[in-house]
Amino acid sequence: MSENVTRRNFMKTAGIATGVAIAAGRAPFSYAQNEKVRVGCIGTGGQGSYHIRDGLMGAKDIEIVAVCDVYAPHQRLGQQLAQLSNAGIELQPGQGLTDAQKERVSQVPRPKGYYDYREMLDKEQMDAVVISTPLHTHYQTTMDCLDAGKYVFCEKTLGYTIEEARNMVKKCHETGKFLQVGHQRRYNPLYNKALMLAREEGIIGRIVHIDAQWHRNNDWRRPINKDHRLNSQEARFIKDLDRHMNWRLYKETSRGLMTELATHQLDIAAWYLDAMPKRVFGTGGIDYWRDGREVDDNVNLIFEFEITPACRGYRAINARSSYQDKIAINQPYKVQVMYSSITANAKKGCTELILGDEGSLELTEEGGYHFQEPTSKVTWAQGGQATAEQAATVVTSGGTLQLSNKALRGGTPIVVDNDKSIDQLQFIRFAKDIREGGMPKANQMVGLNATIMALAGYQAIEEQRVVEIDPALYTFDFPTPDPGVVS
Amino acid sequence: MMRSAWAHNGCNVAGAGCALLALLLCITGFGARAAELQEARPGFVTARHMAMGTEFVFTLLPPSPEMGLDDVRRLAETAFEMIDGLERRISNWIPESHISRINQFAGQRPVETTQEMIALLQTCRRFHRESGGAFDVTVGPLLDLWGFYRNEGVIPDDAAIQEALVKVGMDKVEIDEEQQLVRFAAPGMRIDFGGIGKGLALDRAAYILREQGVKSAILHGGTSTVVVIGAPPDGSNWKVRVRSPYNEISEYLDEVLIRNESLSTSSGSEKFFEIEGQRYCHIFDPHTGRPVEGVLSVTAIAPTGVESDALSTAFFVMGLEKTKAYCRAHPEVRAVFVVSDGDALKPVRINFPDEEERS
Repeated sequence: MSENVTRRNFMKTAGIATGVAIAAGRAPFSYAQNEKVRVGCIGTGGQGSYHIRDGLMGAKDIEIVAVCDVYAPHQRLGQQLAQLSNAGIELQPGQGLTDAQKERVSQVPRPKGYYDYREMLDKEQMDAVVISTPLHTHYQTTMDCLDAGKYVFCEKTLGYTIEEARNMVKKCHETGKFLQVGHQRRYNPLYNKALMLAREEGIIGRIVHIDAQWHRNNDWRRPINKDHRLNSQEARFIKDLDRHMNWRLYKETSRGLMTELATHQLDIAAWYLDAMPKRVFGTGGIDYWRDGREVDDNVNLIFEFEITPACRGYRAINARSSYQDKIAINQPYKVQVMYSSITANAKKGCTELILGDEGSLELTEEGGYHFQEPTSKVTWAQGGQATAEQAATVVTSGGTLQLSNKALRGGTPIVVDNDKSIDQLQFIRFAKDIREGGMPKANQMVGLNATIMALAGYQAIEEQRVVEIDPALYTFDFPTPDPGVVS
Repeated sequence: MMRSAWAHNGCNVAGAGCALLALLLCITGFGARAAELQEARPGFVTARHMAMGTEFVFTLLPPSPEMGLDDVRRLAETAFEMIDGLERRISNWIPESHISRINQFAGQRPVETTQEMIALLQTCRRFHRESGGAFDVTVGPLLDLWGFYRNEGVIPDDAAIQEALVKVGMDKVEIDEEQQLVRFAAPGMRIDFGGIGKGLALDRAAYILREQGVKSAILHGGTSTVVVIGAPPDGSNWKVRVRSPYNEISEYLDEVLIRNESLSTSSGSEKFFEIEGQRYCHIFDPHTGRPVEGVLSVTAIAPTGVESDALSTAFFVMGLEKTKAYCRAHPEVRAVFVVSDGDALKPVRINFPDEEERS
């Protein structure tokens, strides 16, 4: 491993990354004006078919040329949806095609279906792949696709192990291709705007704590068609249909709540703080859904971040009390990120609360609010004798200064102007970054960092101990892209 | 603890850079601000706090010349905390408040409530009686009817007004002091303390500040209610300048001097709507069920904030002549009406004994 690169150097090298990568051959393809980015979809189950129906359908610069799934019904569904997607048609459940839509569908090719992505890589002309497969298969699939010269969109969590994710980062460097990870909040205008308001306008002051959770009230199982008989092709890949469909519940294929849910929100913490945690401790268990699953149905963790002036998330404060040590208050400080995910109560839903000394941000994928801290402000009235007169005077017109009660109590909505789904935004950017030689906001380093946090948390719970996160885990001896882009 | 983390970070070069940067930040600017917290300075301190849908501003002389900002803040915060607590009990905006509970159930059955609510309701009843019904905390159904809560003004017909008036009237609020019960004689009634809440909050804040030794302060809630403690240190009086309610950049129309008393201004410009050139303001005459017309603003000066709050609204409804009669019987009360004088506005003073009344 190389020298212990600090955050600051890390950011500096990040700026160089694009230049080096282009020199290494990641120059934009000479895409003709109307030429589309040709994409193959690997994994067309729940998440994969959602991407086809929504995100890829909405990305006009993308054409799906092939789909791949080891389960025949999903593969067929993927083909159907991909054809509709290529025709730009969004179908709601139970909705039939109009005659005009049928006409449009007939004019676009039906993408070919594959069981084996290697065969697809051999036979199809593709610029990029979208990987939405179980966690344990991300690594090999991604590595093979990068080796085949494809740009890769891979669902989170990037790696089943930290080493895997590191190797993927290295592979990107070697091939000059990028890897975009499905941390879709990075493409959500709300999360970007809130972060800019916090960082540039300081609307919540210094972030002192983050509280995030994803609470559901269901068993997290997917329904299984018990009548389905595996054909010979399917049987090459699927041994047990329940374990295949419910891969999130088994240790061999997933790390459960940490890799499938927590990873999204820990990514938000790292992005907003512009740092990685130093250590994590937590606990969890299988306490409600005792149905043969191997991963915890509830987890609770504390991630300890240390914020230094080199972090873009660092914010100096003024002393608020004469008892405060004036030097110490602006030395590096810790921020604790509390995280929990439970599966038998949904009251708190899925939110990230970013708590600052001057206000709070409550963020969800559907909307966000800004709350002001109602702390009072006390200052010396300006000047000396000259303003004694001013101090002793109040001007009234009878109208009471109105402050919205809603703003004081219910928070002020953070309004963004956006009419596209977040899935569409992330794939529109995916195509744009491929065509124009850009670097994704949710790049391979974002994927690696989130992998490290999720797996360190998993390890802390499994081993019931404090897990230290060594900066060497996210340090490389070559330039890596900036994981903290806001726009 | 911080030191050990610090030393650890100092191991590498960039870490030391961070240390230097942090140090620089402390020496320039930030450190100076911190010192100010403890340093005593001659002059006033301004303390601001958001509550009751507005901003409370206290400008006060620290009780001791030794006090720094830190000490003054803790002093002011005891008053702010009191205001927050009061708001949680008397605000209609808060569903769990004591008054919300009364409003929810008192139309159906007697509601047991607190001594504070009983006392507050009795105060409201007293001003209702003394003002001949002009001050009434039960006009909510009228504001509702005229669209003020929806922010879309409408002119209802007479039948609708009469129907709403059934649900209006402080005399229909039955108070049982012994049992601490409140009941509305008509269903659909409700009470809104918005007209005296700020005055009450400031009276109590002034009490708390006096208890802690403050001898000179001017406190206001969104500028429409002002309560002062003592007089400015130079022995002069506190000044309140009354501006045109309609023209924010205009010169002030009158300057009122006060000392150890309170001042409130009610204005028709605070909330209003216009239909066909006619302006309808949010202050209602409980007798007619219609917005008061022809008055621009009324300032009342009285011994306490609750009184000045209640009286500024009452005078607005009562008009100039009745107000003069009221003030003749109450020498401790003064008033300033802003009236139209051709194209200009002019103040009309009532009960200003030391000077010639400017009318």
